Amino acid sequence: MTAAEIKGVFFFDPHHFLETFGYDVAISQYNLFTPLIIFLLRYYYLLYTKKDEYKIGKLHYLPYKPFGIMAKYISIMLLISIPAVFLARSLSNNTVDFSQAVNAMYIFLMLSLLTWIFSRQKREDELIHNIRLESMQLAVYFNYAVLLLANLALYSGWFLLFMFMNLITIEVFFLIRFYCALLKLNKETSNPAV
Amino acid sequence: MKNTLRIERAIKNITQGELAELIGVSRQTINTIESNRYVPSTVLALKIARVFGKPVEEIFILEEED
Repeated sequence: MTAAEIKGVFFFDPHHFLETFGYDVAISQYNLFTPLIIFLLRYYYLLYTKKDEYKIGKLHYLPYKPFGIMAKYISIMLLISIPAVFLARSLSNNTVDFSQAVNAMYIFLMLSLLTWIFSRQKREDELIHNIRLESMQLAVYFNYAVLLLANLALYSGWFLLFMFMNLITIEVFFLIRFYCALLKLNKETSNPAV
Repeated sequence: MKNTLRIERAIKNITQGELAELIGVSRQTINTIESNRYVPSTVLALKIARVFGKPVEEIFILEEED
C-alpha cells in the first residue's frame, strides 16, 4: 500500500466523496434529507419520552414587540430594496458593482423573514396558532415539491441559483399562505357583532 | 358540536369583542366558534363557561354525529 492509498483509506476527503455523487447531487441530497432526519429523530424521541404523558407541550415563539414588528418592517424594506438595487445596476450600465451589497442584503432578508415567521401576532390565540401550524406544514410540502422538481429539471449553474433562491422559498410561501388565511378569516368574521 | 354562545351573550348583553377581551382571544375566534366553524380547546371552552358562570355542557352541546 502506498502512502497516498493509506491516506485515502484513513482520511476522509469531502471532495472525493462529493465527486462520487457529482457535486450538485450531493448538495441536493443534503438539503432533501436533513429536515426529514431531524423531524424523525425528534418525533420518535418525543414518542418515546412522552409515552405516559398526554399534555401537549407549548411551542415557543418570539414576542410580537419588538421582534415581530421590527422583522416585518426590515423584511419589507429589503424586499423592495433588492429589486431596486438591480434596477440601479442596469440604469448605471453595470459600472458599479453591487454584488456584495445584494448578497449581504439577501442573507439579511433570510434572517429577518425567519424572525418574522417565528414571532407572535399582536393577538396570538389558539385559532391563529392553528392557522400558523397549517401554513407551516403546507410551506414544507410546497418546498419539497419545488426541491424535487428542481432536482429533476435543473443542474449546475441553474441548480445553484435555485438553491440560493431556495433559502427563502419556505419563508415566502409560509407568509403568503398565513396572511391569506388571516385575511380570509377577517373577511368571514367581519359581520357586525350581534 | 353546537353551542349557545350567541344566546348567552345576548343574556349577558356583551358583544363578541367584549367577550373576546374578557377571555384574551381575538374577536374572530369567538365569531368562528359561534358559527360552528371552530371547535375550541378544553381550556378555552372552560374560560368561556366561566365568563357566563355556567357549566361547559350548558354552552357546548354534543350532536348526533360527534
